[in-house]
Amino acid sequence: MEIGQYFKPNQKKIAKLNDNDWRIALKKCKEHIRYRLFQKTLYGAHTSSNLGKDPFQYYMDIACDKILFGDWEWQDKFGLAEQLIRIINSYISKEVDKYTTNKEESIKYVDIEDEFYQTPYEESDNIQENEYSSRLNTIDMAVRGDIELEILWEAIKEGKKRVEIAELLEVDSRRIDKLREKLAFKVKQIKKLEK
Amino acid sequence: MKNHKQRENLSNLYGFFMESNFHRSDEDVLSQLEEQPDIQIEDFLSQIKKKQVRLKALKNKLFFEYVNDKLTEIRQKGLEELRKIIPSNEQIEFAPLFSKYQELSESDYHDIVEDQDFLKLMEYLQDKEEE
Repeated sequence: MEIGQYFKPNQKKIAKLNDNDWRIALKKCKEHIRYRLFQKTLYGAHTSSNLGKDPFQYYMDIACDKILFGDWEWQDKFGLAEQLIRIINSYISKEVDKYTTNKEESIKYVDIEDEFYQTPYEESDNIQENEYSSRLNTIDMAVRGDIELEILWEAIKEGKKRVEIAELLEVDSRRIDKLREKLAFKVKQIKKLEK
Repeated sequence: MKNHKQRENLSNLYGFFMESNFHRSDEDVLSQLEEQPDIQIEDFLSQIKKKQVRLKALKNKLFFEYVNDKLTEIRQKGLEELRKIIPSNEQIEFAPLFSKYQELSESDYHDIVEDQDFLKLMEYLQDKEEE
């Protein structure tokens, strides 16, 4: 076990955390990893067999160890979830690059809001045809008959961000988050029925 | 072209999901976890706690190695030499310690490692060296 150069300052911040602070950050990271992996690639760069363990466990182990052991600076301007998500994003990109080009990417600091909207890597036509259509059909089915969700989906397709969608629907951003939950729930229900 | 548009739509969807997830309030996340406890998160939290216990032990071990090294240095150069590396405006905090151990006898070397003021000085010096 070795400690890194940011061990002490990171530990000072960690000492102020309680269990619920960790739970909130871990839950956000778990959801983030799931969506990020869906977005980045459809194929095996992040499968359990390729990574050697469950993707959540794999990326969370890396991100938490970097903070706990002090190899990565937990910057004052970021909360725990944001700092962990930044590390996760960096390692997911590295893993995909390793899988696709065997090329390591250097760590870049960008606005995390921009990081959410990235295009996935190119994949073979066959995978795209089937998988993309199937996922999009599920979303179409989930929003059908619900005006708010239909508008939400149209806005997402137009590339609108959370605040812009809230303006469009003339609602608070929190309401948009509730709609996201509603959409995710409906998608889950449809997938259950399809099984 | 069709594939490109499909890819873009899906990417925007997951981007939106990530953005919305990122902005969720703490209360919202906690109330979801209360309604639907997540075993994977609880397991991971317990792994973090175990790692923290091991790290705390390591941190203590490293600190006492540092203290031992410093004691050797003090035996060679004297406590007064340490005072010189502390800026004068920060010396007040350690003044009682320096006056208490002006002349270090052999028995003082045994006592000083248990002196809280001395350990505070060691922490201060270690932090300073790591800056």
